[in-house]
Amino acid sequence: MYKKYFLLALTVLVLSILQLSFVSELVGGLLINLVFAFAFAFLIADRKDEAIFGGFLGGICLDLLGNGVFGISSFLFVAFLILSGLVKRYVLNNFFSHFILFVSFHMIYVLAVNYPARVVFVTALWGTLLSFVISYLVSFVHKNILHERRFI
Amino acid sequence: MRYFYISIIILILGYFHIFSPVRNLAQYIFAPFQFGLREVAFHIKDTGKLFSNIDKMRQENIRLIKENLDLQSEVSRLKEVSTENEALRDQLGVKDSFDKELLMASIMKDANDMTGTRFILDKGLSHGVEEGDNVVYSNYIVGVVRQVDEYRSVAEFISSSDVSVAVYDIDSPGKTEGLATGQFGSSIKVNRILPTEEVKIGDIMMTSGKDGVFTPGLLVGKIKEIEQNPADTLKSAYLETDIELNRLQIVFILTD
Repeated sequence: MYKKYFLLALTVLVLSILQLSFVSELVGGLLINLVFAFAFAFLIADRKDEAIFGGFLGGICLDLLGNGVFGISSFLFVAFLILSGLVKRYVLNNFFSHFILFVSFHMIYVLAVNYPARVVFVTALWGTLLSFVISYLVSFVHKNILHERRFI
Repeated sequence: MRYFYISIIILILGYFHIFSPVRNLAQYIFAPFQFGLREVAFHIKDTGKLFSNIDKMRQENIRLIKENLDLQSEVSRLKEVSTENEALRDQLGVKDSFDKELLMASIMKDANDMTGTRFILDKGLSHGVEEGDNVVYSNYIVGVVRQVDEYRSVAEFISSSDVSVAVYDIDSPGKTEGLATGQFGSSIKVNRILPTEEVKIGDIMMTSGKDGVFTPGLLVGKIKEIEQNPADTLKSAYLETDIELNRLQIVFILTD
């Protein structure tokens, strides 16, 4: 139990460092959100608790190492993941609903963390789409490989 | 739901900067990893570009060799002028163009910035950096510090639309003045130049210091295009910088 959460914490810490330095330099202005993609992947894989924990801790890491208002990322990630979990459970649970939820939530996040600076809509959308692809790939790997081996 | 409530509390406390010491400590610990990884990414990107532009680079190299020869002759001429200038300064008792300390800093992109005009420096309050300090590279103005934390600071490139620099044309006879404003990271535009003012393509623009933010005597860029709308009596000029702002790895902060 503790090992699982320790591994999750370590992963989101590494992802947030990568997101704020390596990835942002490599892909320019695209905001590829590895942390949110990782947390959302758990939600797709029906692991809501791990998703919310990952989103919460990942948000804290991003806020600690970034320069915006402290706590905004963790609050938005947790709120988005809880809401997504509810939609997934009571309304719709397919690829299309995951896509709509991810894109709309992530665009709100991009606007929130950039406020009051300007946001280039097309760039933000590309970053969001790439993050969604990463999220789906992680959930696929999780469902088919990691879960069977009980890694996390 | 407990994480939701905890995150609300953290957000409220964070808004009032309660967590600043924790954040400063975390940034201090992880700065070497972040700036190191940034450098790795930069080299990977650079290597990729090298392979895709190999032919272009060959032609560029030939052009640069020729340009280098021209510049060498120009340098020897300027050396003579410089010696003469120094002697005159001594005689007149004029101080250097800016008597500020140069503080070297590593640069990293702001991951949340979409326009590519904001960047993070690995120097902060503890190194003597203050809000409004100028960021330079060689004799070029690069940007201005906007936000300072204990161990790092956030700055904006001069190509940002939120940055305006008072400039003057050193090549025009009347030393034409204007206000240069960034165009969302793509270029710099000097607005409201009177039609009677003489500006030419290739003229060099420098900071005049009249904005009270930027130190006078720093290079801003060369005029690459002059625009005159027939409906408007005023002219505009677009500048290009000789340094690629987005490719800088090390810059200098002018501190008091």
